[in-house]
Amino acid sequence: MNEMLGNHYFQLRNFQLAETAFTVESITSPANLKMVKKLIICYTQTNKTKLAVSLLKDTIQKNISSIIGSIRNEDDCPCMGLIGQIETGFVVYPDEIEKHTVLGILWLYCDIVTSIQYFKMGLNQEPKNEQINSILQLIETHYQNSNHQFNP
Amino acid sequence: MLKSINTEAILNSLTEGVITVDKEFRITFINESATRLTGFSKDEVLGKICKRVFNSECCDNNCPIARVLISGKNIFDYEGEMNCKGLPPVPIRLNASVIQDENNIAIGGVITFRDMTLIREMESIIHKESVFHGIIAATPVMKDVFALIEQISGSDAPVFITGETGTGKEMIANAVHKLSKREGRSFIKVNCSVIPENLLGSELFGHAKGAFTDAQRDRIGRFELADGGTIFLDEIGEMPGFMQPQVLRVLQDGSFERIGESKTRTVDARIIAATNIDIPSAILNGSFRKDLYYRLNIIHIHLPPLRERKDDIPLLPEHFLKQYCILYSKSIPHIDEECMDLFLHHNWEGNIRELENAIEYAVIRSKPDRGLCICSLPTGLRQGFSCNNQNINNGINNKNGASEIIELLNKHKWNKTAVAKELCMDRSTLWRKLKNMGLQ
Repeated sequence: MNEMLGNHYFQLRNFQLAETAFTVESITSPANLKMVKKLIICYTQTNKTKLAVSLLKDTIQKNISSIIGSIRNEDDCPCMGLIGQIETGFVVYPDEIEKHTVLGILWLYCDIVTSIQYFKMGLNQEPKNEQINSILQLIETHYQNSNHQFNP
Repeated sequence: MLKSINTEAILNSLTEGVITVDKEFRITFINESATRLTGFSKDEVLGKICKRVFNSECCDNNCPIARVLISGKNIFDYEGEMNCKGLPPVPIRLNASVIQDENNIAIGGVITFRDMTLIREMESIIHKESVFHGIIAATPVMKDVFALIEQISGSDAPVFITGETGTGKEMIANAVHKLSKREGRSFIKVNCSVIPENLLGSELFGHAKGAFTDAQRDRIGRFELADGGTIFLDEIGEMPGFMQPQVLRVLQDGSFERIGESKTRTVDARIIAATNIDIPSAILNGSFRKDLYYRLNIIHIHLPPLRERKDDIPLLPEHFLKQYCILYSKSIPHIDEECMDLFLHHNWEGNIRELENAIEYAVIRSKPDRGLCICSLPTGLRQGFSCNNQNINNGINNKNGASEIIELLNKHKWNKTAVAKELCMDRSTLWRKLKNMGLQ
C-alpha cells in the first residue's frame, strides 16, 4: 500500500507524507529504484539534505542511470518547479553549501551538466565533504563515459 | 469456461465506465463505455497519469483510489464530476477499489462509474418547473389559487377542494399540507370512492379485535394515523350517507370511537377534502349532508378545468414532453405547431391527466430526434386534424414503409440493430418487416 500511497502524495507534492510512505516501503523493498529516486527528492524538500545525499550516493553507486535524466521526460517530475523556487530565491536555505547540494541533486534528474556545476560549487565551499566528492566523481565519470563533451 | 472469455470483451460489454491505473496512477485500461462517456480515446489516455487526463474534483485530495488506500475500505456510490474532452464536466457516481497482488501489495486501482446526467436533468426539471410545488400554471386564476394556499399556510382550518377530474386536486392538497405548519407530520390520503362501504368505517376510524368477522386484532384507523398531521379525504362526495355524521363529529370536536369499541378517542387531524361532484346538487338530492358541507367548506379552493385556462396549455405539453423523453430515453426536441394547435383547441374533458396521458402515448410512438406530431397522438384526440409529418416510429405504413426502411438501412450501413433502435422496434420485428418486403 505504501508505495502507491507515496506516489499519490508525491503527485500532490506533499513531500512530507510521501516521504513517510516511501520510508516505510523502503524497509521492505530497498531495491525499488523507482521509489528511491522519489524518496531522495522528498528528503531534499523536508530539510533532510544529508539523508538525500547519502541515499543518492548509494543509489548512483548501484545504478547511476536510474537517476540521471530519469524523471524529466515523465509527466509528474517536480524537479524543474522545485529548482525554480530555489534559484529565484523563493525558497531560502541557511547556507550556500546546502542550497548548492540540493540544486545539484535536483538538476541530476534533469540535466547532468548543470548538476555537476552545482556539486562543484558545493565542494568548493566544503572541500572535505567526502559524500559530495564521491557523488561528483561518479557523475563526472559517467558523463565522460557517455562521450559527452564537458567544459567545466 | 470463464478463462476462455476475453476479459477485455467482458469489460467492454459493461454499460458502466471502467478505468484501471497502476501503482503510479497511470491509466492501464479504459473500457469502451468510459471512452464514450469521457470523449477520450484509448490512445489519448493509456500510460498517462489519471489526474493529468481528467483533472476533476475527484482527483488530487479527493482521489477515490487514494482514499481507499488510506482507509482500507472500498468506495461505493461516490458522487462527483468528471472532466471530459471538450465537454462540460459530467456528473458521475463511482465505485473505487485497490488492486492487490498475491502478497496484498497494492499494484493499482480500478474505478467504475456511471453517467448521472439524465438523473440530474430530471431532478433539475422537477426543481425548476415546480412553479408551485410541482404544479405547472401561469394563468391569473391559478396564481390566485397559489396565493390563497400561501395565505392559509398558518391555519389549521379545513380545506375543501373542488374541480373536475384530472384538474390536480391531489397536488393542491399536497401543496396545502407542505406549506402548513403540519409539514413534516403525517399526511394520510384516503380515496373514499375506492373503499367498499362496509370497510370505510374501519379504514377511517379503526376497529377493535372481534368487532366483526376477520377482525382478529385491534386496528388503528386513518384518522388516528393522521394525528398531529393532515388527512386528505379524496372523492368525499362519494362517501356513503351513514359515514358522514361520524366525519362531521371528528370535524366538530375531534372525537370518534373505533368500530366495536365504546372508548371515545380524540384526534388532532387537519382535514382536506376534495370532490369532483356538484355538492349543492348532492345536497339537494340528499346524498350529501348540508352540515358536513358547511363544516368542510371553510376554505374553498376551486380548480378551473383546463379548457377555461387555455393559456396554461402550452406550458404543460412541454413539461410532460421533457419528463417522458427522460423516462423513455428519447430525444424529441419539440412539439409541432399543428400539434400544439390541436392541444389548444381540444376540450380536455379529462383535463391535465388526459393531456399528460396523450403526451406519454405520443412520446412512446414518436420517432426520436423529430418533433412530436399529430399522428402520434391517440386517435380520439386527432379527429379532424391531419398530419403531414408522420413522425411516428411504427408508422411505417404500407405506402412508404419499404422506402423508409431501405433509407434507414443505407444510413446505418445495413446495421439492423441500429435501424431497429431508430425505429423503436425489436430487431425481430424489423426482421419480419424485411422478410415481408423480400429483403431478408
